[in-house]
Amino acid sequence: MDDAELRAELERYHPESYGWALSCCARNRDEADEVLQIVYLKILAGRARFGGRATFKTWLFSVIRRTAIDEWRRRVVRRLALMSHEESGVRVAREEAADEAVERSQIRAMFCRALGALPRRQREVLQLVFYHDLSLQEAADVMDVSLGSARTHYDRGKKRLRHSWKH
Amino acid sequence: MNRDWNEQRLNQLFHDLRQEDERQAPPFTRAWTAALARTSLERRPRRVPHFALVGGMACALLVVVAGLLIVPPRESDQNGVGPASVFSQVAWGGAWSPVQRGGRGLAGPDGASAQGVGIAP
Repeated sequence: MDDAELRAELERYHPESYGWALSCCARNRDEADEVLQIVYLKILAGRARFGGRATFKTWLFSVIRRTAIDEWRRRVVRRLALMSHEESGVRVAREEAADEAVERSQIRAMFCRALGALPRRQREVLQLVFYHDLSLQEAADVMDVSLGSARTHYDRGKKRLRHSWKH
Repeated sequence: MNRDWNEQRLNQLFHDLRQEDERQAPPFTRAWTAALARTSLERRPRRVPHFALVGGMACALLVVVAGLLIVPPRESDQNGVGPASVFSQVAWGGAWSPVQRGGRGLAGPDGASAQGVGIAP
């Protein structure tokens, strides 16, 4: 895949990539934006290369996921070092409060909260299957887990989400 | 507010969320340009010295200096006998040393001077 093709593919998946980055960054838009830039930088610099073993989308999503985890770790270390009291949850809560003007936005905000309360792997598998239309096998590839493990997370996630939505 | 739950509902919620996210997604060109700018920054040659390298060199230097200071000097140096004096003792057998004989010149092993055995000066 040459540079022009690579760019075209990245551009095609950009909106979806942003959605996935948002999910990996606890729906923090600034962090998702930053993660996506780092992913493109990695690809440009040749530090992440598409080997053709999986589909382009699966490969791209796994790069985004790994980058988001690395960035999250880096931020935690930085916060510990600076002893900062700022928490990302404050910003998310503010964004959600702004959305509560319309019922539709309210439902979305509630759904985001319920989704955010799930354990990471359960949230990831639900997002990949329902939001990004991936199969369970593809979701397992992105998450770097076995198909059985992905299925378990999927079932538990759905059950938990249903429970938190009803209460 | 409807809180009914089923598979279709879950699909719908995720669909709404996706539409909203895609609406708010930053343009691709912005993210791409920012990544390109960062690439050029990464490729810029390093102007500050590499701290690990400098630290390593400083440690190596420290070890060498400490080694020179701590390692005891050689035994010959401690006794104050240099290689030259050792050589003179071995080669001349001590008694042959002109210094020990009070500067009388060459003397034989039996204590006779060169003059005594008839060696012309």
